[in-house]
Amino acid sequence: MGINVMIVDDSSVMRKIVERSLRQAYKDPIDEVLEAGDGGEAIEKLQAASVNVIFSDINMPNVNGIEFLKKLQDSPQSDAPVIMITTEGGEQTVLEAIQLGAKGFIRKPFTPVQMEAALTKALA
Amino acid sequence: MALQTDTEITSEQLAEIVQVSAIQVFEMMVGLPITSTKWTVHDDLRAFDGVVGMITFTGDWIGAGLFCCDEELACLFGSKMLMVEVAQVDADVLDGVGELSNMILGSVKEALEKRTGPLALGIPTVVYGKNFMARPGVHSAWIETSFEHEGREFAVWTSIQAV
Repeated sequence: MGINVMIVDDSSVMRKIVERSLRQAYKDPIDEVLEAGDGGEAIEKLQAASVNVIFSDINMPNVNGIEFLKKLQDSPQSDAPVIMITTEGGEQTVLEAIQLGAKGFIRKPFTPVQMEAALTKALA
Repeated sequence: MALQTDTEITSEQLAEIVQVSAIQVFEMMVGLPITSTKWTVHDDLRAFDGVVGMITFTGDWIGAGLFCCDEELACLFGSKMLMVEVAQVDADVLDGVGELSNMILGSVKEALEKRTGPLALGIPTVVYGKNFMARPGVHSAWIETSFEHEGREFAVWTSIQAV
């Protein structure tokens, strides 16, 4: 049985790379991939869809990754674990994200193996 | 040659950081093997042709980095990242070069922070054109670190100075 994934990133290229890495490395099939360009669009899409896990960038225009986590906490849209993907993960940002419920961190650049490990841990 | 006599980051050290960062990003995120051929020091930036992704560093040190490649390489990198054939520079290719710039210079920033203390990374700006100049507001020497993929060259230009 496969899983549904949401990828939140303002870069369409990075959304493709995340999807490719997941499909390469994860043991179960990826059934559906929902994409959103920022946290606001993600919240909207989550009202009509069910996902098993969310991968989110931190630095995004409009609603960034930290604000997205706050919105998720305040709304019943999804209880899917969120894995943050970032180029720069300062200690303060990592702590804030964890306090807001993030279940994992992946630093860019990443390998499919790192992606798979974070996903498996988040879904355990 | 040192970037500044009162700093601890030499041109060679900066070039090595850029080489390691770029090779790792290309191997992990693009899936293309690249080699670094050389690095050279310049007093100033030159005019560029092709696609350039620019990012600044700010903090107790300021600096900037430019990822520069020609149109064909930009399309090749975009094709590999997007998993579709791209024949001409479009918004997705520019987005791809922005991401490459972000990842390479983000890794450079992280390595530099061991010497400079915390730095903030700006948002990448990507420019596409011919014979254009860039002025990222840095006034120290520029290190051009050259790379090669199957005989085609591209480069990362970096400059950093203590405030």
